[in-house]
Amino acid sequence: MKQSVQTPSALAFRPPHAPEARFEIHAGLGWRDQFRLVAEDLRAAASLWHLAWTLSILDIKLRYRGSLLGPFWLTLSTAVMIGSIGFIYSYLFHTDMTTYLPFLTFSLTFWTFLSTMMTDGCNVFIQAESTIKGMKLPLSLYAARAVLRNLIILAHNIVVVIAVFLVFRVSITEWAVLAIPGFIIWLVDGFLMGLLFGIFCTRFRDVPQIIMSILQILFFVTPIMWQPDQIKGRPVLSLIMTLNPFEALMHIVRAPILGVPIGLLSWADALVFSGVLAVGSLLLFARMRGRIAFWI
Amino acid sequence: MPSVIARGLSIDFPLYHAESRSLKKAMLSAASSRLSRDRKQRVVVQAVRDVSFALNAGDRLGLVGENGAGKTTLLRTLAGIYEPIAGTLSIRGRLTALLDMNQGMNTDLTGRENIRLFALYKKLSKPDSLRLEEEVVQFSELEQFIDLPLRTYSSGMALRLGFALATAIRSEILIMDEWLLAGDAAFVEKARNRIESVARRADILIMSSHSASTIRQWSNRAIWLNRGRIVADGAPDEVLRAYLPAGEWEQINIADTECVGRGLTAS
Repeated sequence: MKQSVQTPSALAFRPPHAPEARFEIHAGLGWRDQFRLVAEDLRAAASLWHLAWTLSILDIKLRYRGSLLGPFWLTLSTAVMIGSIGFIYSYLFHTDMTTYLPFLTFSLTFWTFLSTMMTDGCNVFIQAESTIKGMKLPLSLYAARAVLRNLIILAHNIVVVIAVFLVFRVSITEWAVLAIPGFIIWLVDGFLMGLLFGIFCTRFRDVPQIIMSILQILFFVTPIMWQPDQIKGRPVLSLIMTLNPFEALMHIVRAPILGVPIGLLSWADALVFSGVLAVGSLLLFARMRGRIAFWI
Repeated sequence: MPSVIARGLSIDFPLYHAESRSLKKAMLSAASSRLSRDRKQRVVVQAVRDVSFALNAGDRLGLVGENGAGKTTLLRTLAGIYEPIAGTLSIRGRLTALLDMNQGMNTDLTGRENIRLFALYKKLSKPDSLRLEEEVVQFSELEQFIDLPLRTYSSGMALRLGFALATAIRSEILIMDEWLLAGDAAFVEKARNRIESVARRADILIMSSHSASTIRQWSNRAIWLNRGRIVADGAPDEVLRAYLPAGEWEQINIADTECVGRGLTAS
């Protein structure tokens, strides 16, 4: 039998501060205490940002481990898609490519980002099953991980947008900085949708399919493949477009980049949508946080 | 001082099957009053019922009970993973739980990547993280395999890594499920040395096991759980005598006396 020598120093290895040195769990708490626990969860997740970041990088690495181009497959597939759509549209519909292709590239790339945050949102807790059942970690960490992962994917895809903008000489004005607050709203919404859809999809396993079909509809009613001025003078379509919060979300990020003025209405629409989303997902998270571990 | 105080803990474990997992079914049943009665009657296992105990520094608690008695559910609750439906749990002290072999580990990542993730989870600084890596690799004797994905490991290797990881950082409360016994003899011996040095530091150990001799060697208090309730709570020998069938108890008693002779008993 192998002689095992246990050095005392190994066990005296003490982390500088103890995040979970003390905790109390009481059953049957009221809403007030539930929200205190939500705040604690969010704070703990924020303090573990380094872990969330590493987890999302590893997610990407794992997906492309062993492939030649690695995550640049993402860039390549986006480029191929944009290229073929651009080709078909210019030949079939004789669309003017100089304004349409930059619009399409930007819209498609950013829509992919937004919609993947939603579909990934479904899996935030299911994907982390072994970790959730193995150790006490703030649950909002997993929603943040999905947002960060998609941010990394977007960083790869944006190369295509830049290339198309350079080829078609799209001039970007100083107004483009207005896209930043809009993009921050996207990130917050992505996180909230991760909590909301994550809880729903963990409990009800048919929700991912429902979300997929809703996304299909949203893809067509949101100006991504078509430009907003194409439906001018069509009241029904315009109404659908005005009511669609994703049109507003798309607009507040896209318009400043493409040099189109943003209406206050779009901002109001996006903010109201985000507010409702925040209230809904935080209420659900407060109510169901303790049940998630039982559901997975 | 570390302490674990549980007062009247009860946990219901909902059992979901394909039907209750469907949103469509749930909405249909909410719409129809006849079906909604069925929905309320979903299958719930009363996993833990009204469990109370208090542990202080130096206590090493062994949980015994049949399969499905609620041992693992109780351990998960103590680790802060499952929230009880009734009762209060108060934990004071740094806690580590070894609940299942691959807990928190991603089997597609390499051993080293998993160690680094664990270091981030524990918020270790860069030098501490490297020290942890070195320590865990050395203790688990996985030098040759540490850069391979975890899914290529044998169960014994994964177990060694999990154990080394969970015990490398000093924690005041250690919660262990019975899987630990799956290791090979040499490693179990090594693991026990480490657990004993944890226990010697007047920390709290909570473990569940089917093996009576494990409970006798490692714990100084035992709780017998049956259908989620505490049946007996006291010195390991007394609890085991009540829990085990008469003949079996005698056999273990004789076998273990030899171990005591070799000085292997922790208590």
